[in-house]
Parts: sequence; C-alpha cells; structure tokens
Amino acid sequence: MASLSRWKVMSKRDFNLRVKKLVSDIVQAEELEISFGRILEEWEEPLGPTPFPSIIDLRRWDQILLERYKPFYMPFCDLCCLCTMGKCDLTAGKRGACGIDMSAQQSRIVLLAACIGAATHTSHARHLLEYLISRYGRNHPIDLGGNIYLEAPIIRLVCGIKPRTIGDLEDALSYVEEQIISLLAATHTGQEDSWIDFESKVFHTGMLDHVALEIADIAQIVALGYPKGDPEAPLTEIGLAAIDQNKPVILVVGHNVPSAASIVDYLVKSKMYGSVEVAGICCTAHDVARYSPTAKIVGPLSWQLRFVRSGLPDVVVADEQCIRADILLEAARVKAPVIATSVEKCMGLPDATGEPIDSIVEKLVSGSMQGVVFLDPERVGELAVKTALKVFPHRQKVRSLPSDEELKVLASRCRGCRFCERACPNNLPIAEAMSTASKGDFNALAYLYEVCIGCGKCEGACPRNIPVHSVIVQGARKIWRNERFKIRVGRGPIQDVEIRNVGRPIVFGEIPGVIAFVGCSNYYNGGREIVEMAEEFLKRNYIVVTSGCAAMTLAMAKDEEGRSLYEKYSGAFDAGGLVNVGSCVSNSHIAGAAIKIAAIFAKRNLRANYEEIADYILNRVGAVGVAWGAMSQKAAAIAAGFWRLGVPVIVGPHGAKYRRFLLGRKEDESSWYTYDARTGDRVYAGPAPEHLFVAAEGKEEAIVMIAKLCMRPNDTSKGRAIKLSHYIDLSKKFFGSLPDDLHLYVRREADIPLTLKSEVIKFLKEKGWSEKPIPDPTLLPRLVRKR
Amino acid sequence: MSMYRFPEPWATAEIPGPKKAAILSRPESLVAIIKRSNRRLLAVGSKALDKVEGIDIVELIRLLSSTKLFTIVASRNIAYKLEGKGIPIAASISVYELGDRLRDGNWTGFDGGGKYGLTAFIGFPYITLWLVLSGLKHFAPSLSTVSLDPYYQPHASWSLPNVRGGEWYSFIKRVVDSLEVM
Ligand code: SF4
Ligand code: SF4
Ligand code: SF4
Repeated sequence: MASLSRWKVMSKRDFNLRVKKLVSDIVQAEELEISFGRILEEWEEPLGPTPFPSIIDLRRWDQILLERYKPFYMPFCDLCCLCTMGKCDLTAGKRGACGIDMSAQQSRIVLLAACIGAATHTSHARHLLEYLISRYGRNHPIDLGGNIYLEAPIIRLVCGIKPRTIGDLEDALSYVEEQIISLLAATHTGQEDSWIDFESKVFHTGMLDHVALEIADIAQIVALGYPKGDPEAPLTEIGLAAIDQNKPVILVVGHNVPSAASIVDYLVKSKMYGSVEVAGICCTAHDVARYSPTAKIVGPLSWQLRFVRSGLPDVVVADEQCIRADILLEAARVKAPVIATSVEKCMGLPDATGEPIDSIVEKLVSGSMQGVVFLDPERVGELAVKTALKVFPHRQKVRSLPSDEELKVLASRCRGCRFCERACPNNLPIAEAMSTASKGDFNALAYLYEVCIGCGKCEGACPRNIPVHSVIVQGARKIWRNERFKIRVGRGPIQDVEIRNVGRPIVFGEIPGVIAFVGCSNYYNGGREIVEMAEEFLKRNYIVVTSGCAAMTLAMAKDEEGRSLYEKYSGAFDAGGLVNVGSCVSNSHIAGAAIKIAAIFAKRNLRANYEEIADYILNRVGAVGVAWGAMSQKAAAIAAGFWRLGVPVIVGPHGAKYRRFLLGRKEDESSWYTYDARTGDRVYAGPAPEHLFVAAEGKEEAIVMIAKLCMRPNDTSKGRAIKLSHYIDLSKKFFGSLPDDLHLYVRREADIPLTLKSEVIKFLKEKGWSEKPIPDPTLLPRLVRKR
Repeated sequence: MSMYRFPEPWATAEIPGPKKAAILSRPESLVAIIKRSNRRLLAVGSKALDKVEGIDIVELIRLLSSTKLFTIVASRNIAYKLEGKGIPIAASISVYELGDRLRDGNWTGFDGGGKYGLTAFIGFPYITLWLVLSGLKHFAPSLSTVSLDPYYQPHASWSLPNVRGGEWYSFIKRVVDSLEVM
C-alpha cells in the first residue's frame, strides 16, 4: 500500500498531487508531482503553502485575527426571515427554528453581503475577460510597462500562478467562481452555524474578491491601453458644469466599460469625437476616462438623479452595478432613451441585440420604445451615438427640475410635517429649508445640496407630493452651474520602483502611513469631509491613494486659487502624493501595493504564501482604508479582503449599517502579544493596529483614528516618533489634549518625538509607564527563526 | 400633545422587531428608574454641542450633570469642549467602543468599580445610537439603557417618544428637579 507523506489538491478541477516519498509494492519514488488539468508553471519563486486555498486553508489565520478583533454585532432587526420556518425572533439569546442564534445570524448576513459583493465583481471580471479575450485573443500579453514586473501580486499571492496573458487569468477566475458558490452555500439554513466560521468565510470571500478585482483591472488595462502606473496620468474634467450642454450628451453609468469604450471608438472612427459629449457617472466614468481622457466625469453615483433631472443627457447607456433602479423612469421624464447593455440589468426592456441599428434608433427617437437591451459591445457605440444625434434636436434638453419661478410655489406647499426628514438618511432639515425657500431665500436649499446623497427618499415620503430632491437641486443651481473641477484619471498599479523607494520608509515608519480613501458616496455629512481628511494627511506627507466614487469626491472642491487636490499634489506613490488608482476594481492595486512592499522591499516569498504576507502587512505596513461613504455589498467584500490582509478599515457613520465591527480592546494586554521572530519569545507589542473595522462618529474622530491605526509593532523608534508626532498633534487639534492612550504606543524613550519630550514624559510618569522591547513581530509561530 | 408622540421610530423605516423600548411618557417614570439604579453612566454623543429641535443639548447635559448621579463620558471630539464648559467628563470614548465594552460581562467600567446599572444616552446621530442600542439589546440583555434624545429609540430599554424641543427640555428639567430633592 502506498503511503503519502504530503499532498495538495489545487482545486477540484485541476488536481495536483505532490508526493514527498511514495513506497508501494510496485513503485518507490521521491519528490513526485502529478498534475491533472493545468500544471502549475514553475518560475523563480518557490510555491508557498496555500496555492488556490480552499475555504478552510486559511482558517487558522482568520482565527488569530478574530481572537484579537472580536465582532460587535448591531442587528438591523430582531428577526430572521430567511426560510418558511420563520419568521424567527432571535432577540437576546433566543434561537430560531433551525437552531441558529443572533451572532451566527448576523455573521451570516455579513457573509451574504460579502458574497453578493464578490459575486458582482467576479461576474464583472468574467464579462470583461470574455469580451477582451474575444476581441484581443487569449494570448494578449499582460504587459504593464517597463516599470511593473510584479504585475499580478494578488493572483500570485492567493493562487500561486503567474499569469502572462489575459487567457491565463481564467484559471484564477474559475477558482474564484467555484469558491464563491460554496461560500454562498454555507449561508443556507442548516449549514454553517458558528459566528467565528462565518467570519472566517467572510474573510475568504474578501480575499477572493480582491483576486476578481485584479483580474478585471489588469485585463482592461493591458487590453484597452489604460495608463500603466503612470504618476502623471492625464487630468480630465469632472462636474455637472464640465458637460457641454450645447452638444448631444451620452451618459454612461455603471462599472463595465466595453459599451462606453465602444461609444468612444465609434466617435473616433466616424470623426465625430468632440462633437458629442461622453459623460460618465460612477466607475464606468473612471474607466472611460482611462480609455480616453477627453471623456468627462459627471460625478459619483449620488449624482445620478440630479444629472438626469437636469435634462443634460440625451441618451442613457447603463451597464452594471450601482445604477439606480428607477433610472428608466427618471430618463422617461426627461425623454432620454435608455440602452441597457448588461444581462444583469435588463430593466424589463425588449432585447434588440440582433436588430439593425437604424431601426432601433428610429424606435428610440420616435418614443415607440423607451429603451432597449442591447448586448453587443462592438455595435453599441454606433447605436448610442446615432440615437443621441437624432434625439438631441427633438429633446431640447427637456428637464424634470422645477423652474426658478416654480420653486417658491412648490416650497410654499410644504406643511412642515417632516416626514421627508424622517425618511432622509441624513435627517436633513428639509422643512426649515422649504420654509425659507417659500419666502424666496434658497440658501438653506443650497446647504442641503452639499450634504444630500441624492437618494430621493424624501420625495416618496412627502404627503404633499413635493419633488423635494428636485427643489433642493434647483435651489442650489448656482453651485452646480459652476461645478467643474480637475481629476487625475486612474493610473492603475503602483510601479515596482516606487515600492522600492518607499518600502523601507513605510515599513520603518518614516513615511507615517498609506491611507486609502475608497468606496461609494453615501456620506453622512457631505463629500467635503473627505477632501478635508485627505488634505490633512497629504500636508503631513502620508501617501494618499484613492479609487471609485471617493476619488471623484476628492476632486470636487477647490482651494483659493481654484485648484483641486489633484492639481495641488503629485500623482506619485510617494510621501505627499495623491494617487488615483481608478475604479472599484482598481482597489486591487492598493492591496497589491501592500503585498508588493512585502515582496519587493522585504523580499518575502509571495507565491501562494498568503498567511505570511498578511502577517507581514498587519505587523509592518502602516496602511489604513477609509471608506467614508461605503454603501454597497461590493464595498463590504473589498473591506473583507483588506481585513484578511491585515489592513484596518474605517467607515463613516452610515458604514455602521454593515452591522458589525471588528474591534480590538486596547486595555486588554493579553490581546497584544506577538512572537519575536528572532527569539520565539512572546512579547507585548501594543495595540497596533487597534481595530480591524470600525466606524467613526465624525470627521475629527476619523482623522485621529487614521493616524493611530497607521502605527505598527515593527515601527523603528524613528518611525514611531514620526507617527506619534502626528497622532499627538491631531489629537491636540481635534480632541484638545494628548491622546489618553499614548502610553500604550510609546515603547521606549526613543519613540517620543523630540519636540514633545517633556510633556510626553510627564504623561507617561502619571501612567506608570515603563520601557518595553521592540520585537521582530509575527503572529505565526512557524516564522520564528530560532528553534 | 405632540403629533410625534406615537411609539414609532423617528426614522420611519427603522422598524426593530418584537422587543421595543418602553416609552417614557412621564418624568416620574424616569426618576424612578434612575433612583433604583446604581452606577449610572451618561454617554454623550458627537452632536452634544448642536441645537436639536431648537434646544442646546449642552444645557440638558448641564442639568443632568448637576444631579451628580451620573458618571459622564463623551464622544472624543466633544469631551474636551464639554469640560471647557464646566461639565466633568470621566472619559472620552467613541460610542462604538463604549458599546463593545458595555456588552462585555467582564468589563468593570471606567473606574474599575464594576458593571453599570443604567446607561443613558444623549446627543447622538439617530442611526448611530439606533445601531449601538441594538447591539446592547441583543448582546447585553441584562443592561438597562435609556435614550434621552427627543426621538423614539426602539432598541433602548426605555426611550423618550418623538417630542418637540420645548417638551424635551421641560421633561429633562422636571426629572432633574425631582432628582435634586432626593
Ligand atoms: S433560517 Fe432559521 S432563524 Fe431564519 S427563519 Fe429559517 S428557521 Fe428561522
Ligand atoms: S435626496 Fe437628499 S434630502 Fe432627500 S432623502 Fe435623500 S439625502 Fe435626504
Ligand atoms: S414631507 Fe413634504 S410637506 Fe412634509 S415637511 Fe417635507 S416637504 Fe414639507
């Protein structure tokens, strides 16, 4: 009989057997490797322990994190209504008919959200990859330019493969799809029942999500010719006033770029580029601007209602994700036809994919069809442009906003019941603004515009049928008629040479942190807050990276000289740089940068070596994600990927509606021991980072929390002193005093910033502080070098 | 009587489930609750310096503080400002971190003196408090919580109904007056 001393299943489909020693009646062999399906290609890097990890392969790492960062669940509802044995009341310790309790139920909901998010990115990646392969061939090379050799850090880390062509990306994509199905299956009644395992699965989902993001973005960068890590990627225009209303305007909205790219191609081919505006909302806007920097960006997803109602778009081309469910209704009100280009959002429209373009245009222009499903990305450009050109003279930019004269009349219909405020997610003082507007003073409406997320819930709530959001938008017309800013288009990945330059100062703490402002535009108190947050850290020489709607919001404010942040700060991944990586899927480059620091600077093996790299990042790379307006399930999945990788994430007040945080307890000393990799001793390393996922109540708290979460056990004294000087300064600025937990972050006297020495030492004395060692930190016993 | 005096969440859609806060319709009820509790905590939120429903919240906090019956803690951005206004603050802490500690049966409080018998909340964004109270309702069922904001908070043990500013002020004032003659 054969004895197998070591084996590894790579995935169900692609089976790989490695045998250290095989002894049987008929054969004796050593170091035998048998593969069915795709063979793992060898390259200079040895294969790490977890290629294509299954759901439980990284469970131990998750448990290490979850022992320290425990979930605090805040259920939306006391009930579970997922099966017909329910509804079940799970209040305060009760169990449902299936036996589940509230902790497990809440973690199940978190997993469901993460699965929805990851499935959406994965499906997006699949659509994109299939399209790009059909157009450019499987063998289209993954060439990210001369400055990026480590070109797919997440895929290498997770899967252990090194994709060289876009066709190679399919291996990783199939793996992700397979895993997501089983993660979703774990949420079925009678499956997983332990919160800690649900949470581990959430982390797994997040990790897979990052693989999908990387697949999608690498594929589109290399095939569509986007900037390849260029710090000087061009600037383009953003804002309602950037859109030329004297031209036909095509609004592209969503996340999947082929249809928008097809519009640009058709305009170029037919020599009409410049005579038709291509204006984007949400991530399609980012990506079409990366494809053609003369395309314009209207704004983040919360700009949908206001832009459509302004009447500027002549045609709406919707692809997938984050598109309003009432876009068809809204477009109908301004007589703009809609072209749905994704199987995932057909809007009840007829499928006209096979029909001749001119006949579809005729129906759309005559209004006999309000919209169509059109699933041919090669021809959708022609359809959209021809429709826009024909509709434009008829429409006369008809709007669904009230006129200035109507404003006062509408506002005076208000009877002050405040049902709108009770529906408004930001609880905005609408009734008061209506009252002043009825007297002709629109200043309060203009204030509301700045803090309104454009959801429209106020309108559904109003018993007087006042189009509240429209009233706000029209009342703020002076603001948006000047809404025109510059944004640097998404540059994609971080260059290897940039990582080489900043790796050391980041890991030693001399660059005090890398802060990623990411996610959607569901802001509790307007977008201005993240502009202020970002600038606070840019001025302090942190590296600020950004993506998605947050990257747009960062552009939408000007200084006294009329410059946006993108005009003021360099686009380099360096101290004081503001790096727009691009759309949602470009978040992969932010995770990728952290991974590349471990690989390029620290020379850690990357390949299929997830646990070690995450341990490295958690303990050494001072990176923090800030998703101030996070709204979607996709944002939940992205955050989960960062958690497993050891990067803490802060959300804004609405982000608390993800219903659970992962919180450390700084005063619980036992939580904060690590191994010293040099000696194997268990050493207290301090509460750094303190939390893995938390909301801040407001901007000030977030700013100080960001500075704190950038500290890492590995900081040198010089680095820690720099980080502490910011933490102390910001705490004084926003909280009026030294941080009350300062003693937990000073390990030795040399950590104390020189200029603050006397007051810090006085504080430390009061706290009974004593010096502590600085370990070579790791949470993984196997990484201890001395045996 | 206020038109909001229904036991409805202020934010219309925030329907909680079967277990809902008992409404504090009379100041005497709250006085009795406070009197029978020991180790009372008052958590003050990030809106404490705002005017809400036309009332300066800080005036209500000053009144509650004058009873000397509460250990007062406040959100970080607000704590030092309250101290500057003469209100003694025992600790500054984010409400999420506070919630996380309150649900921990082994936590011995800010002074090491043991669990709190009653935690009252004032000055919070509605949804923030809604969520934290939900976490406490489910995972610290033996903890008593009171929402003193002028909006019905269904996840608390007891909550004010949705009230107008004037009613809110006079409710708190009457509670404090009764407590002071204790
Ligand atoms: S899944 Fe369980 S808790 Fe939920 S409704 Fe069904 S039986 Fe009840
Ligand atoms: S559209 Fe604006 S004002 Fe209306 S409910 Fe939404 S956020 Fe509030
Ligand atoms: S719901 Fe309508 S009538 Fe009532 S306050 Fe709001 S705008 Fe006025």
